[in-house]
Amino acid sequence: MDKNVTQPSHTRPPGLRAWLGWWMMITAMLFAAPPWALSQTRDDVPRELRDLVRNVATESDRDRRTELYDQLAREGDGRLVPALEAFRAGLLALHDDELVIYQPRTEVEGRGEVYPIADAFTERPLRDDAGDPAYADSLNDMLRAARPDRRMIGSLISALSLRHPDPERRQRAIIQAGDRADDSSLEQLRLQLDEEPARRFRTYLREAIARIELDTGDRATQLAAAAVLGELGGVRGVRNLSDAIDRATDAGDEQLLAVATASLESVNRRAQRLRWVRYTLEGLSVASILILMALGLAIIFGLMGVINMAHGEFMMIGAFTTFVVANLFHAHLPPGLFDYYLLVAVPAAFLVAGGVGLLCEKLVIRHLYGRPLETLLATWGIGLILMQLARVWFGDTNRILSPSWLRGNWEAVHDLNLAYNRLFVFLFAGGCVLVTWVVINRTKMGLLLRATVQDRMMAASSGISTRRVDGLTFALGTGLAGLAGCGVVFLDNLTPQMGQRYIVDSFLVVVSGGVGNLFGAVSAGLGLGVLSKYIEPFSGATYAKVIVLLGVIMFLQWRPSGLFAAKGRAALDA
Amino acid sequence: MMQRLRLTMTALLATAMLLVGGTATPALAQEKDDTIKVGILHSLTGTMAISETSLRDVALMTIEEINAEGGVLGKQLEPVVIDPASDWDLFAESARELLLEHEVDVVFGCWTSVSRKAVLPVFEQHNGLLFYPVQYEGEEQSPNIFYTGATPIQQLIPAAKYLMSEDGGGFEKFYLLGTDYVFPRTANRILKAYLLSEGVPEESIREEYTPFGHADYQSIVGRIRELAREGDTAVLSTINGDSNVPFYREFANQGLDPFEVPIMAFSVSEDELRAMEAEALVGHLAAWNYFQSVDTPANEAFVQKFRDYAQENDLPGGSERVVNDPMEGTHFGIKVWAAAVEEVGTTDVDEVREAVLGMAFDAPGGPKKMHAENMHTWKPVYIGEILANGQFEIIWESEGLVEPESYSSYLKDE
Repeated sequence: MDKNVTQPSHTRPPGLRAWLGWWMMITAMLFAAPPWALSQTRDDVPRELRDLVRNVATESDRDRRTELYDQLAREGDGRLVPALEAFRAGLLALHDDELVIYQPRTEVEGRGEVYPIADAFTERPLRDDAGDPAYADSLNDMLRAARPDRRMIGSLISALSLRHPDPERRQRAIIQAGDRADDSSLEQLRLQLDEEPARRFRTYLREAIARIELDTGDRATQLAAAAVLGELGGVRGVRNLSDAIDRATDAGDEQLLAVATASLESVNRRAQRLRWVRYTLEGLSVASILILMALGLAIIFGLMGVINMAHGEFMMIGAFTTFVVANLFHAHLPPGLFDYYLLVAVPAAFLVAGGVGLLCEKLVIRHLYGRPLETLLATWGIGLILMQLARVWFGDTNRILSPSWLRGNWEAVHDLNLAYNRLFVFLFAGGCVLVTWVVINRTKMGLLLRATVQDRMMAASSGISTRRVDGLTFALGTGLAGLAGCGVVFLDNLTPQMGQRYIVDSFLVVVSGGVGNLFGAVSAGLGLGVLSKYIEPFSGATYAKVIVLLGVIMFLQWRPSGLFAAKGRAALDA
Repeated sequence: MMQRLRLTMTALLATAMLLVGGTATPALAQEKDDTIKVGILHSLTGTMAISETSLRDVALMTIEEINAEGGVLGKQLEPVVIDPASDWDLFAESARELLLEHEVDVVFGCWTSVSRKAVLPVFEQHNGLLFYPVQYEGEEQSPNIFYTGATPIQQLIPAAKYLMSEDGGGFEKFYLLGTDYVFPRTANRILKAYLLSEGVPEESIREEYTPFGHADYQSIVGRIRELAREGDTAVLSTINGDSNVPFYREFANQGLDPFEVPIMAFSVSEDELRAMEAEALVGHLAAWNYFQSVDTPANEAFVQKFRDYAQENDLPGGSERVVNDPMEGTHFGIKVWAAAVEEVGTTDVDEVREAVLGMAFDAPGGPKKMHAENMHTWKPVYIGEILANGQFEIIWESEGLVEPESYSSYLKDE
């Protein structure tokens, strides 16, 4: 028996309330110091450069345009990048004879359907005389680069952003200079290598320089460059090294051939190692979704013994709550706050899903305890009802806007990228596991919960209202499902039937982890996630699923009670 | 005890009602001689509801429009709507119900190839007539089905050809990615045969499938990245349904640029774009035979009419609704059938078939014609680029109409 059960129940562990306070403080601070107030000011762009971009964007003759691109490459600088990028993506327009970047048409109160517009060079929203944001009712001159021009503009942008203040842009520009084998950038790159203090950029700079040198340098430079590429081991050098090998074979240059072949081998070895690291990381991302889903179920099914077929729908409720919060932020609060909507959405998803769960428990499930078959049917019915309700209210096609910090990726080590949304879900899952563990093991509610689960009669006779505990436990489980929805919505799509996709997987995790054991669910989630990603490269996505399922069935033949044997009510019933 | 039993029963009943309630809701079937019954067979629940509901909407709008102009042969059209709930077996049963019980003269319906293959024997056995509005993999030709969508030569082949051309970017490596069922598998077989015949080496073509509803595209996008590092790679996507959302999101998040590595989609239209985040999509491509952005007065009127219809009838989305290629196919299919019936003065299937074959007509997207023999439709081909507002800009179009081909010539050797 857990020793906590024998402790006097009035010891309220410090925590929950204090943490809530912290949460509110952080939220309040963020709202009090609006982040848009800190946005950096940019230098203004001289008239001639503005006109140059305007001319190229409005020129219809292709040859003339090519000339203008060349002129831009000579005379332009990093400040032209936003306008060129908008031109490339088709978001540039002429408004009152000035270049503007427009956003998709949206409904603005008091204005109807309008385009939000910003200056094409500073990216600052345009303001009218009263200082309010200006909008365009209609835009007749939308400027979009012809598709064959796009790559040209891409090179132009990367050449211009070699000195961009934004490190991410600069990093991309350095890589692209290497891609283009553009020896005109060489000098600039070498200059930066001398002054660049950050080690990560040094790698990119050295790689780009070596790639350019290997393609365009004299023989001695080529030899040195091939050796550098081998030392760095980045896969971007593969094309240059293979070309060098071809050239050396044709020319009978054995020294270059030997160096380049050795370098290519070392690059490939590194790539192979990195591939397994990547599979592992991908597996961890899948695992984090599985764990998020399984966490709530591990409590409801594992601890209470209720087969909750509506678990996926509680997740769906969490996802739609996030969606509603995002829309409310978008519609009613300043745009700068939008990136912070998760601070509200996370607790909201927990409370709404938990609230609906509490209601379901009070109305239906509590009348069916100890009757697994009936609970199964009833919760399945509840799931269908919730799904149809969502369909009636929201329909099948909804799009959720992610906060901007969830888009894009981070190159953790050379050649290894991590998408921010996956990173977020991973950390979020970790946080949820931690909080759940704390709630169950370190709070009074957790104490009551464990007491009830371990011996219901004993708990009831020592004065615990087991019915109330049941309700709260169920609400905790469904609330966790809501949190799962809040995370999953940034990876998957948002439809009323989204929960169906995860319900089987979550039962799989809980059962193979060992019913009634949080730690088991976490380890099973990790195991299944990583395993499926290890199998996928060899079998394809469809068969990977089948193989994992077969594996779980065989595993359960061997250990019917899962990774960790069950304790608690479920075990007594079995 | 009794209370528990009652609750269980209630739950069971509620479940049963939801299941049954969705499946069969024929519109009011008044027995009147002065009406002509037409069947509408689209899934309004289940996985395909997301796409097929719009086809039901546009079909009802078109029928209302024909009725307002005096109907066909002086009679009003009476729609009979059945929902086969994305269940392929139910499609065959519902088709039989439409033909035998409701005695409809024509049916407009189906989306997935598997549903069409399920109803085909029913229509052939009872000599019914089906208008099928969606682009598909070809390799089929039934005298009882008119195909108003594209065959591979009207969609897949021109798209691949465009990507290889100088204007399209001169791509040399292709990643064929699809959902695991009959359309993507056959489509990719045809695409692969075509690419090989154009001299693309085998090792420059990758092929991969994911199950329906797949949501984890990390490894696949990772592999596309690897292929694309060596340059000049395009993705040809036959991913269907809601998997597209996580796929495009992953693609953008891993930093792949739509101009360096474009996705050419064959199953993503304006309607699907309503559920996606625009930023991840801008610059990617799709090949269809119609886009809402086709700039003609007739098309503008069609788009407006559908918006008004959606608003008046309180359809989800209301005046924000969009139209797409299969919706145009449904719309002109009904018009073509009505014109043919007027021409021959009867709804007899054999006579109507003769009248439809070779018929030239004006569709919202421009003039088209039915093929004189092979039951398919001559259509123009467009390649569109996705804009931030969820619409397509047409960046390439075929010269005139392209002849349909029931059996792809690229598979003849197999």
